[in-house]
Amino acid sequence: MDLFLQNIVGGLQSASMYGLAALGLVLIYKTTGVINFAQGELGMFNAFVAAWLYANNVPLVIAVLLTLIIAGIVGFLIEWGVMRHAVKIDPLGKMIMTMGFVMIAQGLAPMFFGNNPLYFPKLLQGDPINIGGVSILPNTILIIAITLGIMAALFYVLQKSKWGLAIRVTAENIQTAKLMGVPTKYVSIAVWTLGTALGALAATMVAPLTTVSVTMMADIHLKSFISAVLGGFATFYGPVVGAFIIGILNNLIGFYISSKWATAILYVFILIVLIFKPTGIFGKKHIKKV
Amino acid sequence: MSILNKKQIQYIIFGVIAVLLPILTQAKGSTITLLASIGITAIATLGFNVLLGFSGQISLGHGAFMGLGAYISAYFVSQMELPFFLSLALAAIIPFLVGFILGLIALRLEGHYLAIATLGFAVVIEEIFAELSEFTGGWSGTKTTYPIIFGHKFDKLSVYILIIIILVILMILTYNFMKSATGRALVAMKKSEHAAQAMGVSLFKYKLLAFSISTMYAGIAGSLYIHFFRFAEPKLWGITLSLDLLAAAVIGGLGTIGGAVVGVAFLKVLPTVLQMLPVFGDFDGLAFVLTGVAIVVFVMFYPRGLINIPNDLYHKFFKRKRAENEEVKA
Repeated sequence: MDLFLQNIVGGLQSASMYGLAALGLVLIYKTTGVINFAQGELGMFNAFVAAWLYANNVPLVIAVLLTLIIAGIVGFLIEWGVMRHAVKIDPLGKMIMTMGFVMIAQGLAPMFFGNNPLYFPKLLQGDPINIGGVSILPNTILIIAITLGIMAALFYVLQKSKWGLAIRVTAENIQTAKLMGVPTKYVSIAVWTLGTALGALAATMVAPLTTVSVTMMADIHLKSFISAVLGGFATFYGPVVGAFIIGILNNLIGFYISSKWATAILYVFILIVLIFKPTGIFGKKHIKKV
Repeated sequence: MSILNKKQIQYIIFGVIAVLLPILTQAKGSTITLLASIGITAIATLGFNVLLGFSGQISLGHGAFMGLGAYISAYFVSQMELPFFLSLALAAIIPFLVGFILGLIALRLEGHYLAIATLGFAVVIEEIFAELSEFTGGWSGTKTTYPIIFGHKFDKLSVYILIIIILVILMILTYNFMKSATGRALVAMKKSEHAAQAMGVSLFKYKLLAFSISTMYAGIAGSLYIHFFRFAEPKLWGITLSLDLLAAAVIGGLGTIGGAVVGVAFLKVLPTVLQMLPVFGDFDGLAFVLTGVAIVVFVMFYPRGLINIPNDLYHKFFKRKRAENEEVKA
């Protein structure tokens, strides 16, 4: 039982990262219709920024905060400099453009930061704490707490504030939103800024577990996408719930079945979900009017 | 002149030039390697273009399908001692079947599901390639020889010629396929999915067909890859390779046959050119960045791609009535 709980806690930690990345994805997707395939690689680039700052003696917490701000600026620049001017491009073209960003990020990272992986430490050092037979690293608690805090704040803003209303209206129907006087331009800037920052936060959380390298985000990137597929792209909370299911399942499969094949088994599981519930757990049937 | 206007003849002329070029100039081994890798990647891009250019779907798993073709081919030739052409055929058919099953699941929904499903496929198959070491040699990779066809042992140059011959055959087949009823259905789908649907084109069926056929091209390209380079390892076939195919298709010209070749040539020659330049040669990854920028720029400003530049310039400067006629037709 202890081992089981131990795996759940480990799963919650990965789920936090998947969830943050997936939330960034769905925020951008629902309001602007763009599937941002560059989310992971932008996160990777920002993790390099964080590690570089840390290597140059910037205190850890400040390095993370600065990185989030820089990530926000990167997201802002992408929206303001490029995506805004692509309104007439169809969704497929926009998706291809984000794949162009993937290549740009993958090329720029070694150019700026060199070919060697960088080191980035855990936010909280310290020995594991024993809670009811389950030993938890303080850093794990911090990651889960930060994630839950951010999610709670974001969903509060989305549901209760005027800004959240603007985002939800834009997500529902951008034309109507414009007619109702919602400043959809600012909404897309806001979601790109926020989405990229969320991806960067996930990246700085995963960085201590591996190293900061060009391939560091491959796993999180994929898992955040399959979380979104599992939860469905129709709601903001769906992908987050999906992320928690995926994170915990991933750890349980890895422990009880095979750690080698965990990703493969998860992938097959998602394909099966797609067969029976193609729009995801919280999906709605998408009806398009011609 | 009219015979030169036939596309099939143009492709054959292209093939003859591509074969003669290294023979007449007595090219170095490295040049032949570059040309061969353009030819191989062009075959995969041709397939990618059938998928992206006509059915409007993106695959991030075409690199993985190439790998599948490569390992299948190497396995059947080296371990089972099957003839080369038989294993080439198997390297086309097996990816086709795998693509068919994957498409069956991922293409039922409108939108981006194929891209996500193939992203997963690429990651998972890389792990499978690494773990199934009896079949693939694991992380240390697998080796094979130049093909032996009818008792004749090929060398580097003759494999290159074989690659170009297969490329030209596939270009002609693709062209004819696009003119067939199925091809016309795909073109109709590209123009307007809803209109095509209203005319009785089953979107699912044709998208599935386009995807499975395009994975077959990837399998053939993979088989040729391993018989030219004689070595393969799991990390060759990741997302990066698929993104290269995507970039080549977009930059060359979506939905065009010549564009696949032009786009790949651009992509492969760019790093070599950059390395020769004094300052830019020192930056690692610059070719990658420029390719990414090129994707964005072409999608936003010139979706017709490199292949159409000469034609468009011609019409711009020598305004003929034909240009207007074509506008009307389009």
